[in-house]
Amino acid sequence: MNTYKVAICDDESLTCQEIEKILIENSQQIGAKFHAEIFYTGEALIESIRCGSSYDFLILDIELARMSGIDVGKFLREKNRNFHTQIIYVSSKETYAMKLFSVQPLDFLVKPITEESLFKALKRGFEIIGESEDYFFCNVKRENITISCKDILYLSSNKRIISVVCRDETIEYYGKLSEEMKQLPDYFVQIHNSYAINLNALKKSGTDYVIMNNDEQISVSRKYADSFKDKIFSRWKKMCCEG
Amino acid sequence: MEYYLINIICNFFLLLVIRQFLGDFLQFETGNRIKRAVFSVCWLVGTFAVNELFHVPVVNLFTNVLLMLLISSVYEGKLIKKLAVCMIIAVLGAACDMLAYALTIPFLGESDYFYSMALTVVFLLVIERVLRITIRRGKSWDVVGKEMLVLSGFPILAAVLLYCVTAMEAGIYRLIACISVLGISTLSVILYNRLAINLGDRMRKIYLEREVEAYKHEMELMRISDRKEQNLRHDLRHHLFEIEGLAKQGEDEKICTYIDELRRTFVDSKQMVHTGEYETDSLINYLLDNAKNHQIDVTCDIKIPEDIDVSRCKLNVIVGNLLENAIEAAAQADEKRIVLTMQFSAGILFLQIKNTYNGPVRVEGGHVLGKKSQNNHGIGLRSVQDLVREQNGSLDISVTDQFFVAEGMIPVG
Repeated sequence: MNTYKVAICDDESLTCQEIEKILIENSQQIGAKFHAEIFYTGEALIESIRCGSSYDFLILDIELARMSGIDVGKFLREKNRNFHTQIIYVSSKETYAMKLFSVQPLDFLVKPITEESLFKALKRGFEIIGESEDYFFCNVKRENITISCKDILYLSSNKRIISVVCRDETIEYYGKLSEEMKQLPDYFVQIHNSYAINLNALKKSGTDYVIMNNDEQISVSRKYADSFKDKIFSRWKKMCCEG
Repeated sequence: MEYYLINIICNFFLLLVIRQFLGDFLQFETGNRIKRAVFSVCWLVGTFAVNELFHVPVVNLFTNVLLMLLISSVYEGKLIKKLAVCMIIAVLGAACDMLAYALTIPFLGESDYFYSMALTVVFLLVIERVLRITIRRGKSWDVVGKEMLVLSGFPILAAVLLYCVTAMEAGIYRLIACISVLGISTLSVILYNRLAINLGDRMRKIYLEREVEAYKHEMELMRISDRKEQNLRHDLRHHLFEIEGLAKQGEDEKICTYIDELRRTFVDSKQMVHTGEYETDSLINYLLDNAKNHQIDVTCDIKIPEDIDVSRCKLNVIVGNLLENAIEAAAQADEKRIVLTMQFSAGILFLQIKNTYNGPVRVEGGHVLGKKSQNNHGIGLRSVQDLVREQNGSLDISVTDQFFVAEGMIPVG
């Protein structure tokens, strides 16, 4: 059974306790163990993250006392450049402003939170987190390099030089993009003769372009437009509609 | 005299065909009707005059393109696109002219070769119809594409008739027959355009009526909810007194039950959807309420931004059409179920509507085949597919053993 670190942040202590209780009492049912930490303010959670704490899930109230859940989400994504921690927003409201979606949350839950809705969101998160344990192998100057797929934003190819663009670095070596695609997991999709992107690192998709988590814009060529759309669509169906 | 009469009449009909061509490629602003009429007269007079003065094909072509460009100035679009369209029309016209001349030369003498102009007009009209089907198919409200194919038979038959006319003896009858055939072809096109506009208006009216019903329904729900809230506020002291009493007795379970019941007075089971956008909520809630009246079990998972940058009108048409079809189908199934999912992620709006169904349903190439598909599902689904494609999205239709599934995605912004 995998163990996941969860931060629960809500200014209502009863809600925090209720969520923690659901996670601990149902670990057998959901097939995972949880190590939960509770925070009553956004500032406390941010401080914990600044001090090096990392979490697999943040269960975050949108309306907090001073700093809102959106601010915490923005800190995590923009200042901390962390796109792996899955954010689940909870709220008494049933409507969501566009700015909430900019931090790429996993799901929104309405209070009072039910076990069913929380488990459904967590299971989707398990799939995404599970994918981040894939690795990519390449040979750079006769040295074998292993890169965690969760760190890769996209691969680009220019005159047989492959650039693996990661969160903090770019690794270059000689190779063919079509060959590299064969060893990449299925959430990598080619969108151009020279580009293949990690769908988990996709921030926004337009009609003929994509924006990655590092705010780089890449064009989607007509040749790959349909297959890219199909890939995104089937991935969404798998994550949200099945099971 | 005959020459000038045929020339002017053919040029007039030719002008109508040119305007049809321009309308197919470019967008016309209705406020420019007078300008268009003035420029059209300039084209008529200019081309006739230049042809009579110079009789040089290159000069005629150049004048034709220039004056067509003048007419196209009242249409929206870049200059380079307008120039390309005018060149295409001019080239097509010249080609039709040559074809008409070649076909009629066995019958017409040197003195009445001008009758072939009528055939040129008809050929050009046929080409325009074919292009229109190809270009305009998929744009919104143009749902009678197949009927257009049938109507295109008019100018084709007219071409055949004109060919026969040119074989007739010269005289007034040939002249009248020629003009009549041209008139019939053009009138049929005008009639078709009017029918298409009327159909579009009728569909808009249906959607508007449905939206009004949905608003009324939503207003009623809001009124009920307001009343409940007022009652709750009024009775608040009583409720607090009750809860305090139960707390003093240590009756935790009873307190939870009591609070649960209180909470349920706010949750209106008819208001399943809250996207934050009034029109969308009222439409979906109205339709889902209809579904419940048919004893259909509905599951909704809608998480989209309240300020999403997508045309609400088009979104409501898409969702409304799909939901209506789903309700109609599920109402006839043994197990009546609908699952509606709308989510927003990475700048894309995802939508899936699954419904149970009864009887055999075949899906081929994204179209539903079956007895009832022609009138109901056919038109509704076609409108939806056109609208989604218009916004660079995609809509897939599929069938499993249990569900009929309509799912789509639209990139936003």
